[in-house]
Amino acid sequence: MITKAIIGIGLFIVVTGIIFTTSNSGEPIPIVYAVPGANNTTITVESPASPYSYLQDGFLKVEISNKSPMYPGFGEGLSKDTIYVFEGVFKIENNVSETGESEICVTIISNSANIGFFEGEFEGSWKQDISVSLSANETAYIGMHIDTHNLTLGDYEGVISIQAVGGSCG
Amino acid sequence: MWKVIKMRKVVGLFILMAGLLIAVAASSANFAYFQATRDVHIAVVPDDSELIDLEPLQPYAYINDNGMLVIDLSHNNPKWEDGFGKGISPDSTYVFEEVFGVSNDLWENMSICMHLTYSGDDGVLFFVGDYTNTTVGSTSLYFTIDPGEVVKVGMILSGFNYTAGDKINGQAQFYATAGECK
Repeated sequence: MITKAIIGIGLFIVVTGIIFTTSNSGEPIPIVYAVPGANNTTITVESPASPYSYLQDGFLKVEISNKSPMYPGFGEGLSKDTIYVFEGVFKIENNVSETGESEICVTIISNSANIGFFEGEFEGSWKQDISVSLSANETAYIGMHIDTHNLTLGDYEGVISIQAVGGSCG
Repeated sequence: MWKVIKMRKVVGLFILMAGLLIAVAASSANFAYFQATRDVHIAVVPDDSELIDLEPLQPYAYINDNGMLVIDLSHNNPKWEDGFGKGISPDSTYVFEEVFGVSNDLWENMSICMHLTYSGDDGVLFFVGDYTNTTVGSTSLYFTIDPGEVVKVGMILSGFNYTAGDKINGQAQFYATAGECK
């Protein structure tokens, strides 16, 4: 079940009418969107906002292990059977010079129930997929609720899908 | 590692999603759609290596094969050897300082307030620091852990109301929040 979802997204092909980009499964997909009548521009909606995330080759990566370039020399990872809540792991922004939209709706989806999201301060609730409306040049901070119950010692790889469309989330 | 699924299923998904994209692009002259996937990598590590460590400080505590802290005062403890004591006596009180440590190894240079609670059989209390004549053990303890600091937790075990052969079982819960304890 999870395997198929990841591979399906990993091989997703973005159709812009001008540029096709494909990717091997597991690699971040670069997005180039061509706006009719405008120069081709790369849209970036998400960026790191805490030491638990960083830009790897220009793409957001959430990394909590001693492999992270942000690793300070202690705190190797998360323990089993534990719940962690980190506020503001990364941020999303409606950069109007890139999107051209006065409002966008950003949807963030985790491929596993072990990872959930919430916006701003944690108030007790989180969801495996959240939607946030961003007005012109507005920034929102996205936190993560990580549950390591049912995970075994070792590496855990997950995938976050970030979608944005023009207009509010309704 | 994730396995690769059959190609034809992926192709089917591609055709469906491409169709959706074309429809969205055609309906708006401006920004219409953006999708990206981003990786998450988390190392699940034993209790004595993680961001908020639980580390054994005495042989009565150890990290089990699942990487979790266990406090075991019986011959089942892997550190038990022939000739060692097999438990506590009925009608006796034992105080052990520094049974395990709780440390703050968050990457954010911030203090945390740890709330330690115990649920289970009677006779188990916790305290922080040295045991003095004013120390009161509790099944609910709050303590601040500054960045990089280790707070050492001791235990008071009581065999009163038990008889030889009984077992005392319980669980400790750890709940930490950002900032010093108020």
